[in-house]
Amino acid sequence: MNDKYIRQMKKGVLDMLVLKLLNKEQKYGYQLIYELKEKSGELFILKEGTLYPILYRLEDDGLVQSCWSSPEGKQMARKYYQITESGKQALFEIGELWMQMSDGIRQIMEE
Amino acid sequence: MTAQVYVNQIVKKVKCSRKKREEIRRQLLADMEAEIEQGVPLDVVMIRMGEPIAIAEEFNQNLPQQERRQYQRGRIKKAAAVIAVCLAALAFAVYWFLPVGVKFGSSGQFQQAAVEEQAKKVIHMINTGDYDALQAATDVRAQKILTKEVIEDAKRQAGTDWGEFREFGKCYFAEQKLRGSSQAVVQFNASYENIAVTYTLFFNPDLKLSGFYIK
Repeated sequence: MNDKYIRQMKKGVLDMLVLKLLNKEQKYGYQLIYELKEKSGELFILKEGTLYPILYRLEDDGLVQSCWSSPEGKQMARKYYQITESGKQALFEIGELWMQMSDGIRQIMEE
Repeated sequence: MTAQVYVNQIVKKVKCSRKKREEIRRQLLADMEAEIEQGVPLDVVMIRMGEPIAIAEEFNQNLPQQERRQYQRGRIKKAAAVIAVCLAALAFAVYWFLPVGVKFGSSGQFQQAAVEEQAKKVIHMINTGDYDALQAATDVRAQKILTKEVIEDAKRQAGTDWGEFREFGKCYFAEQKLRGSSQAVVQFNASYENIAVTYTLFFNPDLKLSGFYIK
C-alpha cells in the first residue's frame, strides 16, 4: 500500500493515542514512543520528529502539561507530560467519536 | 559520534524559534539518555532515530506554522542585522577612504599665512624647474609620484608654451580629512605670459606637498 495513505490514516488517531497513554500516568517522550510501538504491535512506530510536535500542540491546546524532572544522580532531567482535566474531557469526546466512526466505517467496509 | 553532536546536527536544521530549538535539543538528549539507560547502545539509538537531516525534516513537516513564521522572522532579523553591519562598515569605509571637505582652520593644524607662503614657494620651484627642492618639500609618500616627469607632463597638458611667470591671482583655502588625518588644500591662480593656470596644492600638517593639480 502507498505509504502516503498509511501515514494519513495513522496521523488522524495519534493525538487520541497519546492522550490515552497519558491518561493514567505522566510519561516522557521516549516512553511514549516505546509504548506506542509495543502496545500497537509495532503498528505505530513514531519518531521524535512526529511525536514532539504532537505533544507541543496538545500542550498549546491545554490538553497536556509538561514539567522537567529534577536530575537524580547521573540521570538527566526528563520532560514529563501529564494529561489535564481538559485533556481527559477531550479524550472522552474523541474516544466517543472514534467509536462512532469505526462503526460507520465498518458498516461501509463490510457491505 | 556523540549524542550531543548528533542532536546538534538535527536541531540546526529544524526551522523554528530559538526557544523551541533549545527545547527540542534538551528533550532529544534526555530521551536518548533514557533509552541508553535501558541498555540500548548509543549507535543503536541513533539508528532507530534515523539520519539527522531526515529527523529535522520530520520536525519541519509537523511543527505548527507559527514556529515556521517565527523562524522566518528570526532569519529576516538576522539578515537585517548583517545588512546593517555591512552598511555601517561601508559608511565607515566611505568616511575613512574618501576625502571630506571641512572649513579651513577647523583642525587647528594649519595657519593660512604659512600655507600661502609654502604654496608660493612650491609654485616658484615649479616655475624655476628646481625639482630637487620640490622633492625635498614633498611628503615622503608622494615623492615617488610627484617626480619631475610627472610635473612636466602635467604642465605640458595645460599648455606647451606658458611664457614667463607674471603674478599670483586669487587664492582659496580649504581643509579635507582623509583616513583620519587633515590636509590643507590651496587653490592658487597664477598668470604667465601666454596662459593663466590654476594650481591646486595639498599639504600635510608639516606643510609638505602631498598632492598637486594644474588646470
